[in-house]
Amino acid sequence: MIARLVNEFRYPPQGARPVAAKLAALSPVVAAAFDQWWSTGMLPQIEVEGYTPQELINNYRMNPIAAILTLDWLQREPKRALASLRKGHDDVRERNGSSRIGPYE
Amino acid sequence: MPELQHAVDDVAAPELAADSVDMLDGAVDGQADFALETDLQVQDAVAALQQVDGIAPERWQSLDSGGRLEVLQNVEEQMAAIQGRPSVEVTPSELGAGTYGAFDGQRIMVNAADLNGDQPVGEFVDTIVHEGRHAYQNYAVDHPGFVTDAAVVGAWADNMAPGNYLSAEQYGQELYASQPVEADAWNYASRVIDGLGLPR
Repeated sequence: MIARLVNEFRYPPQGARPVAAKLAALSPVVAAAFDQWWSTGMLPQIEVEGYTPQELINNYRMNPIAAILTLDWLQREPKRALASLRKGHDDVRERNGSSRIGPYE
Repeated sequence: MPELQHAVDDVAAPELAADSVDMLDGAVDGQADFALETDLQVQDAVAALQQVDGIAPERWQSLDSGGRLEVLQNVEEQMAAIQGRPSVEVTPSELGAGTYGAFDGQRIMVNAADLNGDQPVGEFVDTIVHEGRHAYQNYAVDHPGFVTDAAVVGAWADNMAPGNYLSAEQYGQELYASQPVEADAWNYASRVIDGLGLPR
């Protein structure tokens, strides 16, 4: 999995490890959705706490792996995950730069 | 985390040399000092920003974009003074839709389009405090000893190193939010905004 994350999805090796660890520990319902996407490339029809993969891709600029990891967090810790998503996120471009990005509407 | 605790309990405590104990004491002192310093900063920030007339919601609504920018610059000046770092300029910028603000290492930029909009004042103050905390983290990394807890600063420096920052776009919201610089900035800004009771 790590090799594919690095070679196909362009994760740096040190970044691929935590992603692989999270993917290996997905909750069952999200794991099934991930397996479908991983083997077919088709985005799964899954909704957790009102969020779908497509919405996270469209409104939060996430790639499919990030969207699936976020759905898993919503499944495990809905209160914390919902609060974090409502705040949006930063985009730290380099050592000294960041921008705070909210959900697109 | 009971399994981890069990594992820790099973390990006999090693005997430590006297100088190791001193080093441990120093590390614990650094952690305690950092926590206390953060608590005091948050308290001071709430007290200082409560005196800023322009961030009262009804007052904010009555201001034009120039007046709002002055208020946000005032917020940054107060936060920088409380944190003991140089203040940076707050400037309007043509940022993309959905981008509240940015910090480029020298300036905090706020979305020029939003500055005229109806977003709650708490969102703007949150952005200034959050981006200002990143300025504080940068300053701490560039000035060893500025923050007492060397482990915290080391974690920030490592997190800021090229290739180590975990963007929400690539890593998802959980890994993004739990990395050292973001967990610190979000927690810090949330405590200030909650203390002010501002709507977001």
